[in-house]
Amino acid sequence: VGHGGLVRHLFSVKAEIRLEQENTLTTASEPTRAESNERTNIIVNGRPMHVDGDEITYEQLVELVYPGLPADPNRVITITYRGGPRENPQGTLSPGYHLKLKGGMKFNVVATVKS
Amino acid sequence: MSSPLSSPDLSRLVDDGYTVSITGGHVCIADVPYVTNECVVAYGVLVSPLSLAGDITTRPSDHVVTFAGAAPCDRRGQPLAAIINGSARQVLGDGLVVDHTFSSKPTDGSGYANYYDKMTAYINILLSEAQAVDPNVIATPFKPRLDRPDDSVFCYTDTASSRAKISAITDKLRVGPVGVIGLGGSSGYILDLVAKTPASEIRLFDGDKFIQHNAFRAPGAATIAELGACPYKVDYFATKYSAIHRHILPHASFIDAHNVEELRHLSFAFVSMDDGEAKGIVLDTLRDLGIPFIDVGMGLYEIDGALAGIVRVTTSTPQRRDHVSKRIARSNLDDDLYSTNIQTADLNALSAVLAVIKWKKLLGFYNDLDREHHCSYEIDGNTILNDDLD
Repeated sequence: VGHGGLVRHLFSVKAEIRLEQENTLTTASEPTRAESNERTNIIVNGRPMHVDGDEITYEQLVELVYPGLPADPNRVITITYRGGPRENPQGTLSPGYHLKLKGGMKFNVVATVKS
Repeated sequence: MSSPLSSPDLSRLVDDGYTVSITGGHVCIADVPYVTNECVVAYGVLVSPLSLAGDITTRPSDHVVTFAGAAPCDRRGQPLAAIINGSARQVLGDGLVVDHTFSSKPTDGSGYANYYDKMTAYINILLSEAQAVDPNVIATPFKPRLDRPDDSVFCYTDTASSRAKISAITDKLRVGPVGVIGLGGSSGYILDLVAKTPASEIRLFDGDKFIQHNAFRAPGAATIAELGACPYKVDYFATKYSAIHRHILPHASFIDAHNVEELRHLSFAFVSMDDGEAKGIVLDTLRDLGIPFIDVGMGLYEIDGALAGIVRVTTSTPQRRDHVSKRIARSNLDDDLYSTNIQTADLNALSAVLAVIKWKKLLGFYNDLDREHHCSYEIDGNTILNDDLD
């Protein structure tokens, strides 16, 4: 299975991330550290999204923004985040790493290749 | 190349701060204060023909000078009859037009020994009357002047550094050739900043033409005539910036496997290229040659009618290169499916400013405590993130 296939596999089995835009924000919880079974509201490239679980991988975030991107070891997608929990409040996410999630956490996921 | 200004008497005038120029075989001193018949201070131009031998001044041939301006007067508004020998408009050529002739012999009757003595004798007569009207008047304004030939990469003296008394720190930027590889929007602004440093050479590499949309992401303002000439980007920028830096060398080709050797003697390279595969060749070559570099790139997207994204500045030195492969792409996304070509001049400029600041940190010009080798600016959070710290 190629890199892209692996990403899709992880994506579908583990994370159960839904891509639909959030139109029905629940007001139940303040942005706090996510629990493993809860749905977490995050913002990816300015767009509210729901994520199941309390962690997200680099590869899952890439799949959210570039679904079905063919495998390419020379490709780099830049991922930055802020508003995260104390384990990872703010920073840059590298391939192969994952983050703890927190409600309202913001991500930028984009290829920084234009000159 | 020589210039009469390297003559000792003329260079002394320059060093004193007079506004000295050479025009059509004349030495001209502008900004010379004098008093008009209305008892106000005005400024004129004192002109003397030059006697030269091998472009160096000899003893002045006479004691007469000419003057462009109104009839100079004393502090009470009476014409300075003691020096005014005649008043008539004269066209001296090369754009020089004067209104009066002055004649004042040195007291010893032997004539002026040099142009410093000659010009300052007249200036001091006019200045003393002007200072009687306004004690703050000076004749030595220290305006920007032509550099003496061959002792600077600049076309005129870097008075910004001397004025701020940071010339010794600026000397840290006296490095060997700096490459600017790829002349997209960001690189134009990189050149804009590097051209004002004493780097010995700035070598530009790009095979594209400068066309109309480029003008909207380039520093300064291209004229419609410049756009109409369809110049190569390297030629457009080299011509523009040769107004301040004398050693900007255009290479109107892309760097590929055939000409990577042109990078060999660079002290540093700024890399800003859209083509990931071509960039990979450049980055490998710079690594193999031991040349430090900074790669800049941006990714912008549209969200609900507004733009956002990331500006990235990644630094690679011989001491620290292990992060490069995970930070800089060397393959191309399918633009139609996955990417956009959105760029804006201000974010091009920001990436250039961040890159040039980092280059100056590597050279010790700016203090660098955190020594990051990767920097990301998030537009929607106004956030700068540092990574790959030493």
